[in-house]
Amino acid sequence: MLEQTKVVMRLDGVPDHHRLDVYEANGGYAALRKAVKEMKPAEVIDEVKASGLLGKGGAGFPAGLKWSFVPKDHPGPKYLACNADEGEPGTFKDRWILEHNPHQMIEGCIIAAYAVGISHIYVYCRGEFYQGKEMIRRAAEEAYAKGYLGQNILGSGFSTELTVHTGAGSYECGEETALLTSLEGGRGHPKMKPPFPASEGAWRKPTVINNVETLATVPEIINRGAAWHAGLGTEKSKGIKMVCISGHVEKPGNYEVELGVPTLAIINDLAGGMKGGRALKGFFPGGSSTPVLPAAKADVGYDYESVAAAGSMLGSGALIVFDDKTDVVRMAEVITRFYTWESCGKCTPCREGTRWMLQIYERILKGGGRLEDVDLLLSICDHLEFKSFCPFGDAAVGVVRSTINLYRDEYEDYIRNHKVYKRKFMPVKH
Amino acid sequence: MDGNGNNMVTLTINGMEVTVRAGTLLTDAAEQAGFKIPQFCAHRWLEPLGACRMCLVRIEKMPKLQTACSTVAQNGMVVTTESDEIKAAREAMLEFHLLNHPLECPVCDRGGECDLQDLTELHGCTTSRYVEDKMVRPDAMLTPYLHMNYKRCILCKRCVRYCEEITGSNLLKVNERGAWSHISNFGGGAKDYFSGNTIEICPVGAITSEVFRFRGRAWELTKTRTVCNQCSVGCAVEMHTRLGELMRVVPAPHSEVNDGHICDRGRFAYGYANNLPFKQPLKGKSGERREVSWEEAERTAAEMIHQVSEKHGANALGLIAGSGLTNEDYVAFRLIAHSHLGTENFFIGEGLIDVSANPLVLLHSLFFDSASISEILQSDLILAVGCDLVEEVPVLALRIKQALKNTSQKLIGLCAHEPRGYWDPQEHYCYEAGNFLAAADEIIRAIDSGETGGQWGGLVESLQKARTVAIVYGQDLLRHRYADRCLLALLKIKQAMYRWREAGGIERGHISLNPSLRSANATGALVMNNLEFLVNDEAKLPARPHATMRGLLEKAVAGEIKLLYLNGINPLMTFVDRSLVERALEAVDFLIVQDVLPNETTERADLVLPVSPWPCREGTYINFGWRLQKLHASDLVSNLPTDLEVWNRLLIKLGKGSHSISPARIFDEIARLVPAISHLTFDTIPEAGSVLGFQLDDEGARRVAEEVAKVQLDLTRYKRPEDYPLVLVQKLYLFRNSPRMRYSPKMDAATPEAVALMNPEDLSALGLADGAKAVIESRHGSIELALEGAAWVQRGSVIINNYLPEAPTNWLVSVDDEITFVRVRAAQ
Repeated sequence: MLEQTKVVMRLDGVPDHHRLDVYEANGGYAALRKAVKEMKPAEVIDEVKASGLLGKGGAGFPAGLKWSFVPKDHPGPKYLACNADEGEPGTFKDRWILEHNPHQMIEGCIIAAYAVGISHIYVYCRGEFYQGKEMIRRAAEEAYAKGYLGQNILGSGFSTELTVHTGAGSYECGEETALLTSLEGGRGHPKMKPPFPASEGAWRKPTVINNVETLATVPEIINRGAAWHAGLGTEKSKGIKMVCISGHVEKPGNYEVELGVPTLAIINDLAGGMKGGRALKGFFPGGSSTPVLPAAKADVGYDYESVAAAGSMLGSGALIVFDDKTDVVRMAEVITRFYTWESCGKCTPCREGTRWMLQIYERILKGGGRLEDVDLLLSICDHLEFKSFCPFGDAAVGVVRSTINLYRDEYEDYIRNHKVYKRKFMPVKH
Repeated sequence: MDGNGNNMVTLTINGMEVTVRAGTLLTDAAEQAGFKIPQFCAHRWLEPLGACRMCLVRIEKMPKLQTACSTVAQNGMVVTTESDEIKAAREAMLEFHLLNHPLECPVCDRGGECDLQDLTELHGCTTSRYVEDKMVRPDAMLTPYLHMNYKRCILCKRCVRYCEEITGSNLLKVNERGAWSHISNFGGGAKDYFSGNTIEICPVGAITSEVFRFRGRAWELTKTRTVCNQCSVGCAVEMHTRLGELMRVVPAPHSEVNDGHICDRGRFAYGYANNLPFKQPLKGKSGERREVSWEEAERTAAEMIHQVSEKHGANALGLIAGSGLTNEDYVAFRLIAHSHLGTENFFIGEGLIDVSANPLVLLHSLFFDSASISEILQSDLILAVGCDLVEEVPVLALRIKQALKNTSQKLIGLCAHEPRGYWDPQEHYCYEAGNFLAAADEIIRAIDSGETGGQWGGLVESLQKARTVAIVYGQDLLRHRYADRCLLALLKIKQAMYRWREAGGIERGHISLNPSLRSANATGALVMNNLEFLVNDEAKLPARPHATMRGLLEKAVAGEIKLLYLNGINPLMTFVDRSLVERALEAVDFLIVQDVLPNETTERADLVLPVSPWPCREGTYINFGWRLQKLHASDLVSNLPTDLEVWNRLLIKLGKGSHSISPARIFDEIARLVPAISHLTFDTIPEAGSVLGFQLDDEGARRVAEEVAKVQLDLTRYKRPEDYPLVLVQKLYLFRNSPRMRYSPKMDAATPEAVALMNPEDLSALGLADGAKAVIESRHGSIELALEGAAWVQRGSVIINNYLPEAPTNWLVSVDDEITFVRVRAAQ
């Protein structure tokens, strides 16, 4: 029986642990105290590097390495942007942290700021997280009042500020450079790299951008030591991961597991198995942008390298499970609609390609598909993938290509039999 | 390193080794190697965007294809721009670009000069796999001149970036998201004098000119390069004609002047040339005016000139040529007036600066202190004094804005009003309206005393930090009786700077002074009116004007001049004192006006001799930066003669010989006389023109310096009379209701509203409301205008557009007044 390894969610179940006093009573802010009083900034970076902490936003880039890219001799100011613009369909882990454990994230932010020498922390919060942003604002106020934020934190001489900034509701702003342009007050379009944000980010100053979950893991690494964290997970994917299970399971929700556990165990042991005892058809291992894996691959180890070897990505850890009654063509249409709607419109392939794919899906679902449409979709995927400005384009093709490869017969069934999908709601016109 | 000390990098492009300057983009490096990389969103004026993805190339060791437009060439890079993979990528990107494109090339204005068309020919597929409904959005007008066809737009954002990065007006933005993105003017709140350039930088036919739309195909147009005649910048433009009609004016590349930009006035206000209201000469005062044949007109003119000179002597003839003619016209004009007609009463130009008070110093400054446009752009400090750059010399303002990007150069404004919020300099200082001389005195004192506190401290500090300073002084100093003294004050500031530098053992550096004169060839008029200044052997010069504009008008009022011959000038609007002009026109027996378009003065003429417009003209202009440039005649059909032809026929009718009608021959004559251009003939003037390098030797410089030091300025602060407590500030606007604008179709939208601008606090102190009709009166006259409050107007002053035919400000001014005091009261 698979057990959870709770780190970010360690206080899950403790009543009111979003409150500072409860958080402190459970060892909160001890890591910050330890960091600023006993450790030099470089030691904090080394500790996080040694722990093997990977970025939890999707790309899995080592967090300590990212911190060390910031030029040490820069006169400043330097910024930390905490990426709380969680918009990936199927992902709701950051939302849980913001709403239930805001202090652990804030503590992580301050430790990161201390390690890199950052004078201002921006929490870029997704516009629709009404409750989340209130919780984080309230928590920040509490932290300010207690002297964890502001001038001369805990008497260490280190000072940093925290501002909560809310987006206007755009998935693209979760991309780090688009997040920065949006934070600066511009249109949420991605920026050219290089220069990379670590050297020229927000307002052309060095900026570290980390995911909420990544930062929320940092205090426990400082508390328990790098060796503890490095001992968890697999050889290449060290540590733990929050998994957001949704779809046809008995108990959808957030779970936190050691990296490398079998995916099937997460579904069966933690999420209570398939809903109504139905058969597993396939799953998105890491959110809607990751290619679908079939039921046959459900025993894949839930870590970055194993999922990649299976032909998908761990992404943000959003495990979307669907059963054998699922209409995958319709599912692909829903997700393609999301990408069409959310494309920022900057680069041509993404702007035009996503809409084209959606139009083809809509035609197929209306019974007007042509057999060549399936290959046409694959061809559009080829033209879109790795050619768009930012990884959004690559994300948009994942579901299309993988569902065609795995369930081509369902597409052809729609087309050959002029099957019509009966809509409960009319889609937004375009 | 190359010969010039630039770091070089060597890379391989398609197996070819190529060495380029460090920092070169891959697109440019490939071009050097002979490979053209297609692109839509990249443009040499704009920062790389990487949005159209047309320029994808393979770089070894990079996992994905990279955009060449945004990648900087690096040592050892191995780049492939021609391969099956790249070909497929280009085809794919073009397919995306063409998805929603209507493919209406046969009816598109851009057809024949469209990047999308060209690149589709080169790299695209012949069929489309797209069978869905195309995205359709109804056309919109982005400005009164820019027609936006959304269906054709490929969202490269060049236009948006032009308005953000180059003009800074933020006129255009992208609205909505994803496939629904579209270019929008957001309600049209912003204004931009350079918006027309978005037509050229649009790589497709999305933005088209409302004036040119559906009037001709690119390949049918005959292209003639010439110099724009709308202001003194002298932008290089191309006139495109078809079937004898001028179809459009577009900018031509000229790195030293306009670098491919032109202002909206230069681009759109050309329509008058196709539909000239004057078809034949007109005889008689208005009311009994009738069209007459050229034969009759010439006979009448000759008879009148003959009669007057027989009866009252040749000096009873007064001749004035305005500042829009060519240099060749001016030289012929001098010669005809003096040698053929024998009068001393002639003048060239608009008489803004009266040099007669101190000709040596003033002319030396005007001739030798000027800088070329490139020199101005390279100066450490550009100081605009009494000059709203964007209204007076628009393209220079644009180029200064570009030059200031990413450099330590500075633009400082010194003006009688606060910055207008559009096109702001980095630093701005205000002098009291009308009181520049007192401000100059304080600045000189501050420089001499080395004090950097006080009102002028910042300005003095900036002046001291700069090695090269370019001063551009404008209409607020020039449109006054005391323009000459303002120039002397500037010269004294310059001298104080040199004194300070010498005392500190600092290199002298260079301080230049350029007046921003209103008309296209105002500098030429100045030169040709004072040609003797440049000629070694004065005896060779045929004639020398002794008169001033004011003197001529006063002689007319006094009855000494009986016949006035005005050539391309509208003194009723352009001379400082309207009532003097009115009285002069009233007093003369006969008024001949030779001009292209009807204006206030032609209305008053006894004889109107219409001449052909600018597109038919050949000759030379001298621009703001002293660059001699050649005008070429397009094949616009006009049955009207040029000025030279009219004069020649008139001379023949008078029996006083004849004059060459060939600008080329006249120019060659001038070149023989003037050492500064002696190396040129009309045919050898380079396409880019030639900067007139007038050099003053050390001895001359010393003499001028002594003269300047001797000049005593009367710097006493004026006192405001109690009954006229406000100072009138006349402002020149680029879009004004001038004849060229009036007679060009669709230009009415651009002309500013006729209002008197006042500080809102002054307005409320007077108990007047915004928009109220008011009478503005001085001791000399009054005009009626609506009032408008504007916070940038200095308290105690009234700013009025100086070209309002319905309310001419020169009614309020007298030539004897140094400063015009006015009062404002509600109209009945």
